Amino acid sequence: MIARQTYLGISIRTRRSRRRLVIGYWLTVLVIMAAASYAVSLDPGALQHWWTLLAIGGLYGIALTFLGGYGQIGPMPDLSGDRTPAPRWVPIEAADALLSRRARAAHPEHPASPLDERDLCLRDAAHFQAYRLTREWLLPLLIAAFIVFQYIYPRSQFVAIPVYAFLILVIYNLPQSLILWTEPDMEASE
Amino acid sequence: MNAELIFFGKRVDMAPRHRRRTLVILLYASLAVLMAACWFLTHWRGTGAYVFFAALIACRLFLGGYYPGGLVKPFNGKVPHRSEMPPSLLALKLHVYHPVLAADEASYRSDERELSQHDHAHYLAYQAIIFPVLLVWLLASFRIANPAIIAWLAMPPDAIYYGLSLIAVTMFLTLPQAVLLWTEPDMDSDL
Repeated sequence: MIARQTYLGISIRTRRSRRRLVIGYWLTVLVIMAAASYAVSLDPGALQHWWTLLAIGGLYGIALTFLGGYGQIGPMPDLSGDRTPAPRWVPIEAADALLSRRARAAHPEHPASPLDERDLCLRDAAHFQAYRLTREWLLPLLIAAFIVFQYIYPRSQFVAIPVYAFLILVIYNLPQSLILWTEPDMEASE
Repeated sequence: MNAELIFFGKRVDMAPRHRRRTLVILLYASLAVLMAACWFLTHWRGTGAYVFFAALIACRLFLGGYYPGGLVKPFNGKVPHRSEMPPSLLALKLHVYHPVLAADEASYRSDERELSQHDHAHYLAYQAIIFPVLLVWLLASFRIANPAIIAWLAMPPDAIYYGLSLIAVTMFLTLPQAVLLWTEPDMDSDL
């Protein structure tokens, strides 16, 4: 399921190293988001400078794509692998021209077929677990945090942004984190 | 998934897919109407929670999944807790008391195919829930960066956040079950 054995020069072949990556990722995200929220609440005018927006947007973009799953970046393959349409019948000489890159990738004989049956099961199961965790733990926690912070700190718009930004990150990256956390050690490649 | 719905003591055949799809459309339309009515009555002040409770009731009576009752079997595969207390008179009068018999326990557990469908429905629902959350975040960011961008909106920004959050929570409670009801092909009728 995991697309590569090294990521950013670090080996992620073993489960232990992948767990370190996941813990490091979420700790970094929490620290950066807390620091950015605090800085913005001290000087809301800073957000009207294009360079601040660019820096925050860039960091957030890196955070969103760091664990992969939505493209070719990161340790996870593109998880939308089963959305590719089944190739329709076309004259053989026109096939190459007509089949899109993704349809070619989905062809069972194509070497770059994105996700096999086990991967799809694992992906769906990870999303079920992520859904359950978000529903039972994260959402109540975030709602409670939102209410408490709004009560302590009535400038609600400065609370809404980090809370929702964090929720988006969790929705995007929790399934990948669960897969990286649970997949067993991989065999070393030649 | 159950092929029949027991609604206030009446057994309704839900085996054909078109009936389940009609139910899903009716449920979401009712929730949307309730939300709009609450906005026109009090601008969701004090009434926004009614939408949340309506979604919970819809889960208990029609959808199931995370709650006992409804069409979708419990996602956790557990048999609902059997109370030693006698049922309330109201529950008996409304025909909403469904005792869990020992012989029925197997019907609450999902087989391998159903488990795989549950997982896939959650995967699909997970993709959709991001949108209302993303909209709130974008609006909140625009509001701070350049308030003039959203000044033309007729609703106050806090009301928009609240409304979108309510939509996200409602989707979160109901969407996997709705996906399952929508996609499952016609079943063999038990009636």
